[in-house]
Amino acid sequence: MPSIEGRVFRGIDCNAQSFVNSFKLIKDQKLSTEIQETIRSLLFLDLDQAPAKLHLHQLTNCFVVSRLDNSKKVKAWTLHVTKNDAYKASFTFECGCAYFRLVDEHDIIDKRP
Amino acid sequence: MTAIAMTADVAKDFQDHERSLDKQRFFVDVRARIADFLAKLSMKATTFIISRSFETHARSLRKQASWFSQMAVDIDAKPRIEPLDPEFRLVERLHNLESKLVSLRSQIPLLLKSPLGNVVEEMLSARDEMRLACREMRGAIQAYEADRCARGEHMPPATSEDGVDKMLAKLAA
Repeated sequence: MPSIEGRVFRGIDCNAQSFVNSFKLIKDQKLSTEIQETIRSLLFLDLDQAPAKLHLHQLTNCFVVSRLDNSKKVKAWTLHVTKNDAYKASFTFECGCAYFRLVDEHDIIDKRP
Repeated sequence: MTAIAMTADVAKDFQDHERSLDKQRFFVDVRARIADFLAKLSMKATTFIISRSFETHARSLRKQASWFSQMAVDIDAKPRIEPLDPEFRLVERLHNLESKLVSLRSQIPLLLKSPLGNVVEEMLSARDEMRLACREMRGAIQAYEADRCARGEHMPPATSEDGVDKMLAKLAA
């Protein structure tokens, strides 16, 4: 059984320039607020008991550069950030913290998380 | 563009440039310290190998040394270092290295009694210097990071609801 320490969002990081840039491309204020609400709801959420509406999952066979160590690759996670499932965000889950990478349309994130 | 707007733009550019220079100066200093530190480390790592009991430590220290040298190359290659690039990992690395140096303490007294006594005496003083250097560098980096946070240039991961709200507010601004 995985330890609770490692499977709960204990921190959220949206500081990556790539994430900030992709977020700023979303001009629709309603969408932008919705995305923020979804991100806010992640804090202290159990990764294994996330609400189904978030579609929180790891991408299979997709590794990205770790935010904590450039020489390492880690699995990318994605979740639906809007109710209409049009937008997704990708992040890496490292040391209990979600490091957001990008937010964009569903298909784009699936291809390039 | 009005003269006032132009002046504001130039002032902002200058401020950014100055900050970037500050950052560069800081990393040049850190890099010089790392180079100095590495010179000591590689010299002493050879000595550590002499004793089999230090083999594991030596390997681990050399691994750290190679990471530091890679980081020095990275710092050189990137004129502008993005938040959460290697310098923030450095604090943790230095802490690990310091812990390893402390853990040598338990083994050194045994070796002092061996024919390698003189070498071990040297190692002891080198180790203490390294620990001090580690601590000093960690302090400098943490102060630098705190300063950047205060200026709003860098924010650590948010671990509270307030923190998340602040981060999201900045994102939406």
